[in-house]
Amino acid sequence: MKILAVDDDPFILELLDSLVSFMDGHDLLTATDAMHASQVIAQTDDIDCFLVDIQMPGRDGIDLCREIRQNPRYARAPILMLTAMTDKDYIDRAFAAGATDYINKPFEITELTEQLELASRRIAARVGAQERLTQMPSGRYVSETDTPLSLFQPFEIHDVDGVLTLTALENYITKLSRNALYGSSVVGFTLRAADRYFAALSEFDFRSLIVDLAEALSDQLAEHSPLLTYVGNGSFVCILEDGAQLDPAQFIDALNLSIHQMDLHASTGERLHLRMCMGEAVRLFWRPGQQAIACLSQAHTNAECEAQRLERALDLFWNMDQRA
Amino acid sequence: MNEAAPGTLVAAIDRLRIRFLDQYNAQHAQLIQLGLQLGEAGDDRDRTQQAKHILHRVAGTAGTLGLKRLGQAATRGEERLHQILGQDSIDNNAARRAIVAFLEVSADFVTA
Repeated sequence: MKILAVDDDPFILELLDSLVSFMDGHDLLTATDAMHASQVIAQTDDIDCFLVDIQMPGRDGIDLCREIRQNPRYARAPILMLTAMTDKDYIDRAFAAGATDYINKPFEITELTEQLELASRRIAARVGAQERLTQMPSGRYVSETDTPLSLFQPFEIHDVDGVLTLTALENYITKLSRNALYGSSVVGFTLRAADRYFAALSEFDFRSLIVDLAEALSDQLAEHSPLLTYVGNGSFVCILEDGAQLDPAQFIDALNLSIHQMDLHASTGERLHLRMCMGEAVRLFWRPGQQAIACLSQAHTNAECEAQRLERALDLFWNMDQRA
Repeated sequence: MNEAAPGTLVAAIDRLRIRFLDQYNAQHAQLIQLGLQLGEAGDDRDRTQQAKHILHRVAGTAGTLGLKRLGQAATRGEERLHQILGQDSIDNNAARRAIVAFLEVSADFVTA
């Protein structure tokens, strides 16, 4: 794996150089600031992984992270942020800019070694599964493989503000300290009757529809600086600073109105009448690591239960209408 | 990691730590200078920002090179200066106290 490390501290770069030289199968390139990194990236086309310090003179690491992601070649490359920043705002902005994970400085050599090995295994797994990015009609990219998509299978959505990969969202939520997650909540959103749309549409159309919903969600939640991901089955989970404050009825009305205004169609020309619903928010209050991951699952379940409840209520309404 | 790695890597980190400490005097001296200048003519926000930047770097590097006490003191100092910088005007006394508290620990790592 070829790694580019970007840090203004020569001691850290030298330490990384020593570490990587003692690891098998990896090469390290270094840059001392974002501008230098841009030059290295322009001259090298086979970088596999990035280690980027957040606070650097001139352009910071978050800005560099955003630039790396804009390069299609590196849309999926692991970007590990190195940071002595304790401020949650920096971490949030780094993930929103496309970071895959972060490592706190000071770091333990073993922790960094494990992170690099994990990144290497993920890249190998992706190559093994022949995963690739495909452009949707909206211009956004999604990940796909040669095997047919199943309804419950998540896929990556790229280039939509605040939308992360599932891996990145899990890293974010498990790494942040209990303190930092004090006020945050996880909220699930589901496409109602997702199974019917999945059965009726082509795989391409279904992926395209999910990307459109991701954009609608991202736009509607913009003022809350959301971090969200697609988890399969037409569902998204979203971390919000003040998620518990969202008025579900009001928010869903606004979201569904915006989706209606998008005037979405299948490639057959058929108009898609899509409705999303929102599950009960799950507070992350003082729940670290794996407990926080369980909150993601709970939020997902809450949204799907709400979708089922609404569909049952709708069925009941029509049945009553027929009896009348 | 290759078979010879653990011992050799530790030796490489030891060598880096020695070099870091050799050069550390300059950062310690710069912090004294910034502490002394606080409250004098000029931009105290800029001085506090510079001090915070030095502490930020020391916090990341010293801790990673095994100088935990120095790294932790730098982290505390950086957090304090971050709070001070978040206010509308710089509290010179509070900034100076944060720098001095760090220098108390830092002095143990300065070589003669």
